Parts: sequence; C-alpha cells; structure tokens
Amino acid sequence: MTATRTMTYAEAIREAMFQAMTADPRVFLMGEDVGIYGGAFGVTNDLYEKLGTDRIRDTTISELGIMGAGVGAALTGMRPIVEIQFSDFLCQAMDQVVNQAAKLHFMVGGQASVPLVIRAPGGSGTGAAAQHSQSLEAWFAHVPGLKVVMPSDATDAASLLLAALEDPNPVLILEHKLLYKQSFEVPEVFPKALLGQGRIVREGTDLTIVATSIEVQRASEAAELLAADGISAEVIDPRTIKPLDLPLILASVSKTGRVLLVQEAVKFNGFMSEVAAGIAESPAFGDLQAPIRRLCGLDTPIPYSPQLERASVPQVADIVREATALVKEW
Amino acid sequence: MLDIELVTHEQLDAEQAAARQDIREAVVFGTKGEDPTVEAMMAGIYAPSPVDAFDIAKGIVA
Repeated sequence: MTATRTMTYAEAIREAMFQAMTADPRVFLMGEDVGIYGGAFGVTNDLYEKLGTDRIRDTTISELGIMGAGVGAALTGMRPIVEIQFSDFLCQAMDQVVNQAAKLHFMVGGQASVPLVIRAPGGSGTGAAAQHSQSLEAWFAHVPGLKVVMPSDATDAASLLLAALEDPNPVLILEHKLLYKQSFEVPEVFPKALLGQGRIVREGTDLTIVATSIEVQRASEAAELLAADGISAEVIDPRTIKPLDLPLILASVSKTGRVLLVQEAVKFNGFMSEVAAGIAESPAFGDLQAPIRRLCGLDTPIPYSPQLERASVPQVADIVREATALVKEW
Repeated sequence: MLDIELVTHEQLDAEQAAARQDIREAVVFGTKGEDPTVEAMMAGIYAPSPVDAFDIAKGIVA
C-alpha cells in the first residue's frame, strides 16, 4: 500500500512549486504579495525565505504588466509561474493571455513557444462578492493555444501544476479558493499527471455526474447520499477542461445512460455546454435514456449575502435533487 | 548613428536594399509556393508536449 500523508490544497501547491524550483533553475514565481506576505491566500507562505527574491518575486499591482513579463520570460527560455491574486483580475491581463501567450507559437510558425504557467484562484464561497468570486474558465477554454486546468483536490493541484511546468504551452490553472485550507490525503510522491486525462472519482451504474473543481467534491458527497437512496452515481472529474478527456465521459454516459453536468460557473455558454454538445454529437447520444441535464450557477453576479451566495451555485442538496429526478423521472 | 559615425550612408543604403530584397523574395515565396495545409495549421496551435494526453501533432485537443 502506498504511504500517504495529510496536507492542504495550498500546501500541496506550495510543495510542488518548491519541488519544481529546486529541480529546475528556470522556474520562478511572480505575483502580487507572493513574497514577504506569503500570498493573498497563503499559498506561497515561506517560499520567499527558502528561495529568495530571485525565485519568488513580488510585483507591482499591474496584472497586464506581470503577465507581459511572464510571456517575455517564457519566450526567452524561462519557466515562469505567474500568480494572479483572484482569477477575476485576469480581466486586466487579457491581452497578454489571449493575444500574446496563446498566439505566439502559432504566429511564428512554431519557432518559439510560451511555457507560461498561470495560477489563479476562482470560485465563490468566501464572501468576496461579485468582483472576486467568478468562475471564468469557459472564456479561456475558448481560446486556441491555451490549456485550462481545474484541480479538485490536493494531489491534483500538485501533480497538474508539475505537469503544466513540463508543458511548452501556456497553461492556466484555476484553483478554487474554498479548497486552499481543506486537508486531503496525498501520496508521499505526487504522481505524474497528463494534461487532458480525466478520472473516475467514483464508479456507478445509474447515472454519470461530470463535475469540475469544488463541484467534484460536492458531487462525491451527493453520490454518497444517492447511494443511501439506492441510486448508483458515477462521478467524473475531467481535471483539465482543455484538453478535454471527452472519451472518458462518453464511455461513462454509454454505460449509465444518464448524465448530469455540474459546474459552479453560470449555465449560459458555460464549459458544461461544450460537454453536452460533445455528448450530443457522439454515438453515446444514442445510449441516453434521459435528456442531458445541466446544473450550474445562476445567471447572476455572485452576491455578497452569504445566503444568496450559496444559493447562486450548486450545493450538495441541489445535486442530489437533480440526480434523483433524472433517474426517477426517466 | 550617422552623427557618431557608427555607420555610413552607403551602409544604411545597402542594409535597406538587402531588406527590400528579402521582402521581395518572401513575397515571391508566399505567392508562388505551395499553399499550407489545414493539417499543418491545426498542428501549429500547440507546441508538442510530453505531458499532453492527446496527439497535438494531429491537432486533436478533445
């Protein structure tokens, strides 16, 4: 049996960054308050003391400038990690992410690449309200040239970060701020991960629940409750939304005949719309016994009121309700 | 550069002529050469990656 240990999601990210920086002199981190302060969510913590200012670089409050410096460093052979304090602030850096990082390899005919890793916390649940709580993954997955990762536990947060650092393309890692302080069992050595390889979190036979980020955890809790009610739910975590492990999802849908797609982001034009389309365009569509169902965030800015904030994104009880209806009504 | 005699007018003219010749040749190459293929375009979006689960060289991302 593989030895395990307990660490938080944030600690796993920190350890992975330390591991990468001690193994490869090209890797460094820059962002707002990542140094002395230890990061807005404490992810970098003491890395500044351990690795110094060359590797852990505090920056000015200018996301576009930070991202531009990251793109430039990547082009010249470094392996920068850029931390954006809240994924909402990626809006400030869009030109560098979308028009530069994502395009340059293509526009120079493959003569250069941009091995840039962007880490940014997303999602709601901390009372940070409308400008600090969004789930914007669909925007970035829409851009050819970018890869988008959404780790749902500590092991994946570390393993997918290490994989991203080995990838010669720009990779955006959307961490969930509610997960940072949660503890997980992790292996002594983070397993090697591939970008675009999803995983079956829990096997089941009555329906497939595809979920991302923190909704994977909620879907797993819902699956426990559903099991008590005699419903066997298979939970799938795509882990990376681009590239997307659609074959894994299709195989599960063909097996169970029902699928519930769960994301925190708003439904309209969301990532799960792409998953639904992928299923509808495939032979797995013929195996469905019920319409594809999506359970997503409401089409609203995230409110400040804690009660409304919870109500605006899928919770465990919502997943149980939708899954039950999907199985019992069809 | 001229003021501090780093270059001469003749050298600048030669550089300009060479640059124009490069552009002329590039235009000829671009208009007379074979059209690139769709496959080549799709394969050029991502750099080949040792950690991608899919075959980027074929332009398959999902």
